[in-house]
Amino acid sequence: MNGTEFHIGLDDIDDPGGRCTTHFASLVVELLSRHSVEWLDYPNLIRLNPGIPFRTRGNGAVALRFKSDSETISTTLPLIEQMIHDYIDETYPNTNPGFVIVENPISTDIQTLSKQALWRTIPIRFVQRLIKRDNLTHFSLGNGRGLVGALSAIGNTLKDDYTFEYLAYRRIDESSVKREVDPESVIEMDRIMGNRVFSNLDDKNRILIEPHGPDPVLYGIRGENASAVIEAATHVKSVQNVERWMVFRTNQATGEHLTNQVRIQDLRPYMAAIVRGHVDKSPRIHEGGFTVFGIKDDTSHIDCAVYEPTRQFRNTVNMLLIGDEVKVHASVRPKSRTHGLTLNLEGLEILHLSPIIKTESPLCPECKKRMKSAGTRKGFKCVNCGYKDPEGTKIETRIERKIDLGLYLPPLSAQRHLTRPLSRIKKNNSGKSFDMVRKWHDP
Amino acid sequence: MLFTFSTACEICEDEDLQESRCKMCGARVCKNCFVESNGLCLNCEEAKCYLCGDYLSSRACNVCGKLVCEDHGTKKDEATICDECRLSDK
Repeated sequence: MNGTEFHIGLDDIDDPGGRCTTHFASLVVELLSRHSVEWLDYPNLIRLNPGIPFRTRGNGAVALRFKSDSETISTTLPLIEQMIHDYIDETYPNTNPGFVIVENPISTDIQTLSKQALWRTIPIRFVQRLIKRDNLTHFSLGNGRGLVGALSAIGNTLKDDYTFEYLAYRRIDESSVKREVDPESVIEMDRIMGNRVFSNLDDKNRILIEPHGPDPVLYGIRGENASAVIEAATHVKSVQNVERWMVFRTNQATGEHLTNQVRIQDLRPYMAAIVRGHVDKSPRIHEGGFTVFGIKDDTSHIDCAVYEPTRQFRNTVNMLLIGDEVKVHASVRPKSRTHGLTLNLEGLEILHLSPIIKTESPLCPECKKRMKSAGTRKGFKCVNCGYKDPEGTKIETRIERKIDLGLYLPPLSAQRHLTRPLSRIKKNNSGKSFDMVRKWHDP
Repeated sequence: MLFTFSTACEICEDEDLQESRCKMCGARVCKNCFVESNGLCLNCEEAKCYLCGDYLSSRACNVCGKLVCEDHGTKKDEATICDECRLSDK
C-alpha cells in the first residue's frame, strides 16, 4: 500500500475500577481495520518505569503502527476521541487519557524520551513542550498525564529484545465477575508449549496468567513469538467467555528498565536503577515481615527493602553479611517521615561473599581436648593432660556461607512486567525479524 | 553502563542550565523545568503529596485519584486510600 506511516500512542485509558488501555487499543484496531490501513507491526505494549506513582496498574502504554492515507486518519481521529469519552469513567478524577499521532520518521527526541520513560520520571509539561514544538496531533483529558506514556510508546520501536503477549478480554460489563480460568487447562497448555511460552505458572503450579483486578483482561499468555501465544490460547479454558483477543509485541520480560548502573549520590526518587555496593548494615526483619539492609558505595549509603510477598527471595537477602559485594536491581522509593530514600529490591546479584572466619584454640596433640591460652605470647596449655605448646597459635577456620554468588529474583508472582525472568536469562530476540501472522486479533 | 548526570538539565537535557536545584529531590534543572514559587523541579511538583506537600507521593488514592505520600495514604491489598477519603468513609 502506498501511504504514510503513522504511529498512534495511547495511555492512561483506564482506572482502578476497571477498563484497560490495551483493551481500548483492541477497539481502535478493530475500528482502523475496517478502514484502509496496512499494519506494520503488532500493537506494541510498552511497559514504562514501574516505580512511578502515577500508574493505575502496570504502567503500560500502547503504540499502533500502520500505513494509511490522510483521509483515513482525518475520518477516524474524531471517532477515536469520541471512543475515549465513551470508554473512560469520567467520575474518577485521576483518569488522564492521552492520544498522540506521529508521522514517520520518529524524531530522535521522541526516541530519547522513550528510553528515559523506562527508568526515569517524565513531567507532563516537558512532553507538552515537545508536542507543541513538533506540532503533533494529540488529544488528552484530565491533567494530560497520558500524553507521557502515549509519546513514549511511539518512540520505543522494540529494536532490542522483545516478547509477545496474547491478551484475551471478557465483556467489559462482566469485569467485576470472577474469571475462573481453569488451572488444569493452563498446566496442560504450559506442558504442551514448553519454553515457547513463559511465566504461566509459579513454582507451586498456581496459575499466573489470570489477573485479579476488575479489568476486562481475562488472561494473558506470554511467549517468544506470536504463533506460540496464539496456539497456547487454544488450550486454555475459562468459565467466562473470550469476547475479543489481540496479540501484542512487547518489552515485557526483557529487563529493559534496568540497564543503568547509578551511584548512590545520583539516585533520584522513582528511578529504576542498578546500584553496586557493599553491604554495610546487616539485614533486619521488621514488623510486618519486610527486611531492610544497607549498602554503601564510594559516594554514599542507602537502605534497601525487601517485602513479605517475595518469600524465598527475602530469605536469601536475610543471609547477607556486612562486606558482601552486591548489585541491587531496584526502584527508588522516595523518603517519608519515617525513612530516607530507599531502594525497593526487584533483584539481587551477589558478586562477592565476605568470608566468615571462626577463630579457635588448637586441639591438644596428646589427648585431643581443646587447649587454653597459657598467657600473652606464652602459647597454649592443655588443662586435661598438662601438655604445653609455647609456640601454639589460634586456628582460623573458614565457615561455608549458605548462599552462592549469582542472580536472585523474587518469585514470578511478585516480579514486575518488565523483569527478565530466570527462564529468559539466556534468551534474546534482539535483531530477530518477526512475521505478521494472518490473524492476530479478533474482532 | 554507569550512569552519571552531565552538566545539562536533569529533566530536559537543555545545556543552557542556569542551575536551579530542586529542594525535594536535589535534581539540577534548567529554569524551564523549575518552579520558582516553591523551589521544586517539575517532577517533584507533579508528584508531591496532595495532602501535605512535604513528601513525594507513593500512589494515587483509588477513590479520589489524588496523589498521596506514605503518611497520608493507607494501603489495602493493591489499593491505596487517602486520609481524606478514609476519614469521610467514601
